[in-house]
Amino acid sequence: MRSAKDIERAMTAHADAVWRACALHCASQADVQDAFQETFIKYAQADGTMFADDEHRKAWLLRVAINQCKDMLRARSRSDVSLDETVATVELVSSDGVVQPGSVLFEVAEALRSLDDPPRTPLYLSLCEGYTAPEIAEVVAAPVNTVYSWIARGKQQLREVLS
Amino acid sequence: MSFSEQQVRQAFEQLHAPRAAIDATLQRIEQLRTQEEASRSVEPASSKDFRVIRSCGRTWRVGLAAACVALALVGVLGVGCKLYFEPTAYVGIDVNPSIELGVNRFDIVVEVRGINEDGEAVLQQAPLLYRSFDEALELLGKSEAFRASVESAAVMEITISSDNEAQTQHLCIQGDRFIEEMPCHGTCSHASDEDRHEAHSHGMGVARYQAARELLALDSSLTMEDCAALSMRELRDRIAAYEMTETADEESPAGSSEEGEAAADQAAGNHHGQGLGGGHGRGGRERHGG
Repeated sequence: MRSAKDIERAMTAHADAVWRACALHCASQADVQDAFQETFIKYAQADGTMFADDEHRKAWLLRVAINQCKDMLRARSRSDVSLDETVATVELVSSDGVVQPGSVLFEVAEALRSLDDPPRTPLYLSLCEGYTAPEIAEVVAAPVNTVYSWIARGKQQLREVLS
Repeated sequence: MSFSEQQVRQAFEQLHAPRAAIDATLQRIEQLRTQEEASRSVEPASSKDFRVIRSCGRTWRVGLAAACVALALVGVLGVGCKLYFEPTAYVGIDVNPSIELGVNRFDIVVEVRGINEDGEAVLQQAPLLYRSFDEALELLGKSEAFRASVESAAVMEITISSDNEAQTQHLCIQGDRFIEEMPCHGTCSHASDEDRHEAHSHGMGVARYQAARELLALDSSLTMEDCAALSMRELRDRIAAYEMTETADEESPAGSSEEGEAAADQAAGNHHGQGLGGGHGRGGRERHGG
């Protein structure tokens, strides 16, 4: 297992990015917390994985977080709990109160969350994390050209939702 | 970046991981570290077990997919093997020796069988299995054991048993060509599956069995076992001798029957003396090809 210092450093640098990725995918606040925790537990346990730099570490954490959320959603869809019920509990709320239900930013964030995935994840990584298409292709394990078309389609769909 | 895209970015930038979630995660990791260190002293492999259990669902799906692919491959392989190893024509070659070649739909020899001991001896010398029919005949022609039996006075008969008319035709053409290259006389003809099974039940090749039946019809004193011990040359000579006798009897019933009987006796006693290889072809067979 990685050292406590290593884990704390990674959390300080990337906790927000991992939290946002989980919030983008998960159906409830509890799921976001679970996915967040599982991601960093995996990081702690992956002591054999070496990172070239901090960006590489961030990309790894985001990929693990996204996969974790998808696994949880799949598990939930197989269980008795209705997906509609869980989706209804989603609320993106920032701790400083800027993003609150009813605010413009809340509606915009919800619009992105309402998109299918893909293009939701590639579009999020492009708009919010500033990744290029080749970098996104590595995170989501897809061809670069496909990522380009996902981003274009996502932007189009986002415009339609917001209009 | 459009205004709405900027707003999306701005909205997500406002989201921060709550301190409570970070602390809970750090606490949980430390808890796991303690558990891991404790279990490592008792059971070194426990952390690996944890990972194995977690990956169970994916392993199951990968296993299922692999099983499906394996099943499909086995199916394709099975059909391929059946097509390749299933003989669609049987080619009997009777001189003495008597052998039979099972030929698949691709004209590859996939079965070889010595009908009698001499036939088995020939097959031991000539490795005909899994060769093209053409190549197998060529090898057979070059084999010393076979070559010794096809001297100029011998009679070689090739019979093709197959439901495939086209394959019968071209195997017959190849068979005729093979006979032409040999110093002996002979023919290539078609025989039914029933004839083939009946011949095998008497321990003979199809051509030899059909000749034996012809001879038995002419000489009731002989048995099938007697005929099995005769070469094709001997069978054909005796048949020809009896046919000559019959013809002579018809032409001069009073005077020359003794001469005819003498000819028959001569044929029966002198198996290699007469050049009568061309006088055969009866017994309900259909002549194919050249």
